[in-house]
Amino acid sequence: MNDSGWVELLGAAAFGALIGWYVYYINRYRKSDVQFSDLTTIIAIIGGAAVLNLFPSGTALFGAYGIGLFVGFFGYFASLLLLIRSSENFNSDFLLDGRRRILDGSGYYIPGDFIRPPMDLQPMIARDLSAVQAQTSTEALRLATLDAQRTLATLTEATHNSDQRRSSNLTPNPASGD
Amino acid sequence: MDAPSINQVGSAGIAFVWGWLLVQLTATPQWSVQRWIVPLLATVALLGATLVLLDVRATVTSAVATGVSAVLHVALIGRLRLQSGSHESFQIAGGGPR
Repeated sequence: MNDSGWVELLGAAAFGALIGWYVYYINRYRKSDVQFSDLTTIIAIIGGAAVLNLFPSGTALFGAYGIGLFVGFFGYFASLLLLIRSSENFNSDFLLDGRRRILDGSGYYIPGDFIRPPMDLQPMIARDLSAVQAQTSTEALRLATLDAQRTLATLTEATHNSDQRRSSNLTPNPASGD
Repeated sequence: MDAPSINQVGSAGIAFVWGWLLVQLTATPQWSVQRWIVPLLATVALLGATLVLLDVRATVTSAVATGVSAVLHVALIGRLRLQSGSHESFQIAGGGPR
């Protein structure tokens, strides 16, 4: 069982790490909802016949592949956490829905090509996103109403002033006449 | 108790990754049988393969690793959501609302 040399073990682990890293990447940045084919692909990648052909299950190579897969998969996650911690433009929300800071510091945005939230459970995020969007629209509507009221008040005042000016011009000046 | 072999550790590693993925693969806006059945069958197949190809100890370790991983993933998401600033307004660039 342990007839594999360290080079073979290292190779199997490195192969597993590469696959694990890529599985995390693909799952995080996929462009649509999970399909049936995605499931079968993932199952095949993780422990399918091809992998068992390369690394027979009774050998230490299979164990090294499994350890490598774990290290690669969670290595991606760990490096993501480190990068988020060291950057001012990202916070933990990036893990949930992919949002990041607008570079001029005016707020946050989510790239439009993120069809689904990268990490969060979809029912929760869908509910929350709609709540946040509804809140945003209500706030925008409130601001627009305030703006409209202010404009209306200014217009009313301007009309009133203009009327006053017109009426004062029409009033005869007793001093200038006879 | 013997120390775990490299195969047992490796299969537990694979099962841990599978448990983590399981949370995302089964979470959908609408409940669907297929979405639950396929991952469930895959989990059973994974554990069955571990039992046939390795041994009982590896199977038990894999089952525990899958469960622990799924629970940890859900807990992490819950914690992130608690400390999240999701209430802050944001824009969705280059696409409609999701």
